[in-house]
Amino acid sequence: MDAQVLLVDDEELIRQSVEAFFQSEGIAILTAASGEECLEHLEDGFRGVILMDVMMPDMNGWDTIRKIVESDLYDGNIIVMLTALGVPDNKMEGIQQYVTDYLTKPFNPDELMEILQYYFGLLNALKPAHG
Amino acid sequence: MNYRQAHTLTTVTNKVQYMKTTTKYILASSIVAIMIVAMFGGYFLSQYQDYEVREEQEKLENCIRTFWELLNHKGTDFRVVNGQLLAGAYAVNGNFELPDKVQDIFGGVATVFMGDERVSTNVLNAEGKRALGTRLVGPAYEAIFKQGRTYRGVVNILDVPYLTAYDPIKNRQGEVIGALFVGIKESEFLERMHDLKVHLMMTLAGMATFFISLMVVLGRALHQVEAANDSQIRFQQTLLNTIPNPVFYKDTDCRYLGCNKAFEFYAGISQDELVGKTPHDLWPEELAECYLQHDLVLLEKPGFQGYEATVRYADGSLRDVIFNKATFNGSDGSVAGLVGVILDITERKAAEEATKNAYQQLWEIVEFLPDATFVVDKEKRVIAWNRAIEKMTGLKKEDVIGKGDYVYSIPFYGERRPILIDLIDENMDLIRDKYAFITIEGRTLFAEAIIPNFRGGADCCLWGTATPLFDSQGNQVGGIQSIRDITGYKQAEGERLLLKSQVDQNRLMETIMVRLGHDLKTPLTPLFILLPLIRKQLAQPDLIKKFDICIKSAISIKNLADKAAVLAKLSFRIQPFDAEDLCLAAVVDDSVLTCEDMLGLKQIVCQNCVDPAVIVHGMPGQLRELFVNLISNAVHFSNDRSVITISAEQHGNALWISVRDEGVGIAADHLEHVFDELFKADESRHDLETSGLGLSICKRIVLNHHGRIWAESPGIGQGTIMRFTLPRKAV
Repeated sequence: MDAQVLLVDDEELIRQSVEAFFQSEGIAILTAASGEECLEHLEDGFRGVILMDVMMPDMNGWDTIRKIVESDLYDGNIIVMLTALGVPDNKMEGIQQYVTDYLTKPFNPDELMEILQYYFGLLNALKPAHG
Repeated sequence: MNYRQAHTLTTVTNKVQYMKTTTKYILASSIVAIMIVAMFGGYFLSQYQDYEVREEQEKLENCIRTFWELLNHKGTDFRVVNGQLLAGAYAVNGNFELPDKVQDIFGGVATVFMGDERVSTNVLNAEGKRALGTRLVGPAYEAIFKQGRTYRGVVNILDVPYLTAYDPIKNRQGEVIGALFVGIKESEFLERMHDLKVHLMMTLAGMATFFISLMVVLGRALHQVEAANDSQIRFQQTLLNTIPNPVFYKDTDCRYLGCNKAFEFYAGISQDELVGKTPHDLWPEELAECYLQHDLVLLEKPGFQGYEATVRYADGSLRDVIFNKATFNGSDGSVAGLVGVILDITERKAAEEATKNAYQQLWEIVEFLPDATFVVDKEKRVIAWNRAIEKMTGLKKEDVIGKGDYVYSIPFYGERRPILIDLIDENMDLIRDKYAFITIEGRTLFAEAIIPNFRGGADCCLWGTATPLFDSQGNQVGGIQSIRDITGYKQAEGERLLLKSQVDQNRLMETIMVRLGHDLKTPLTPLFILLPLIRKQLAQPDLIKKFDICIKSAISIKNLADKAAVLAKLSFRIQPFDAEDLCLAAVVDDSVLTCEDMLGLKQIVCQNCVDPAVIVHGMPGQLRELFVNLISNAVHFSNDRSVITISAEQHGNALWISVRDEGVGIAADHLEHVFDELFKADESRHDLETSGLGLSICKRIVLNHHGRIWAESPGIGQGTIMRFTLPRKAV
């Protein structure tokens, strides 16, 4: 089964714990340690829910989204931002429409699953339209 | 005397007069000279003639004596025999030996008469032959033959005048029988005399010609000078007329002699009408008397006079003027009159008055300036010392005004020394270290100085400003210095700096807290995800219990991080007060909804008793945070199934809002401290579910809304009322 979730976070411990959680739930997941890796996965054909950390070195979450949009890789994806601040900041100016939801760190597995289930359903419902 | 004569005091007219006098003198001298020369010439000539005559006569006497000796040598016995004159035996008739000898020796002519007939002679007749046989006539005949004596004199011989000498020739009986004659042609002598006369006459004529020429030349020069004088007078009159000030001149009787055009305009009469009039004829009694008295004083003591007076112009206007008068002398050196010039100073006086008023106003401004201020003139003498500086220094105006020599430095430094106002033109580098602070803008100095034990008191910090003052021509005429006591300000400034450093510190704290809040969440995320996973796989109940403690701790850390970040933001972030009018009841409803879960957990009922009509002015996000915190707090300290009541009531001008619970209550001595950061009622109890920051956040939010918050509690176990005030609708 192709992965339906892509986690983009520079923090290795977060990537590992989330991976562990998804494995226990039996859900395939891809991880990326940076915006660049995220773009590579998208170019390789990933489509699904992207969990995107905001604060990353080099290219932050917002910049990565811009790049995704500019590279025409956005369609077929749902982007959920992972933020520790809880408040959207002004750096997202002009790309709000590409962010579907927010998840505040630290989030617990139930919250995560709830959100993912919801958007998996949404993506599946939309697929025929894209088909 | 007319106005022209008044000009004799000028050099040109003096020159003319001088030349006239000289000409007269030269004329008189010439006549006298000519007369003297004529007299001396005449005298000299007559003297010379006398001398010449004497010489001739002597020569004549010599001549006739020689003739006698020659004759006597022939014979001394004279007698006429047979119509022949004999000297002894020597026959004279027709014998020319003796006369020719005499002629050889003396020149001239010689004759021997027998009776009155020439019998031996070298006198020539008209034909050039010896004039023998001719007879003696005239006064000589009379003297010889009638009176028997010698004759001397001028006699015409054959129409030629001769200077002659005749001696009678007598016989032994003493009878005159003939005569001896010698003569020198008078023409030779006269020629010489004539020559002399001609020379004299020519000399006199030459002198006369010279003097006449001199007269002519002088006359012409005089004429030219007079013409120049006329031109000069016309020039002077034009000059006078060109002068815009009235000019006049009077004689010693104070009668006007003349004036210029400006005077005519001023007096309203022409010069011709003016001449001969006295001040009393022209001006009002009082003014005329004033002028006259001054004239008399001046004439009494000749020289220069100046005084201020009033004049009345022909148009009736009165004007302030300065009279400048001076006497002038006539050709004889005595005072001949006076000249006066009138200078209209009405405008100047008005300007002076205006300047005086302006200065007065300026002084008054300086006087009432709130800053201690003084002004010095060019010589650094104090010319203004205002009230504020009197108060600051205790030095009164009367003790400093008009004084120099750094008198103004004494109250500050206790000695005479240069202060800021004296340093305006100094090199900044030289004076910089004398002041705590000094700078210059343009030519204005600003400086701060610490004056130790100012006026015997504490150290004082003074702020001084010194500026040079300039007149309208840009000349520096003095300076002004203001001094302000900034001791209090400096203290406040110190406090402000302290406050600023505190604010800076707070900013740093905020940054640290926000970062801490954020950074804590990153490591918490794996915990939040993995702990539930691990818990599911645990089977032993005591292990599960211990693991739950770990989970609770993680949640507690998360809460602490959240609240700390919120408090930091509320406390420190300088954000615009984006308040709006809000329905308070709606805000409360929102907040209660947020707390639904925790309320439900303890089955606590939260009643919103706020009147929906109540509108408050505030920031909705912060107010929701406030209510959520207060409700959470109330829930935390309430028993299950109790009631929390939220209400609002008008209290004076303010709106009092209260959140009341029926919980554990607060001890009286803790009421004041519950809003302190990290305050916990029970220090020993580590309550992992409360951060200790909730009420601090509430306090900060209320303060942000310019309200106050406090806690009320009847006592332990009797519930708590959290009250705060909020502004009503924006005014």
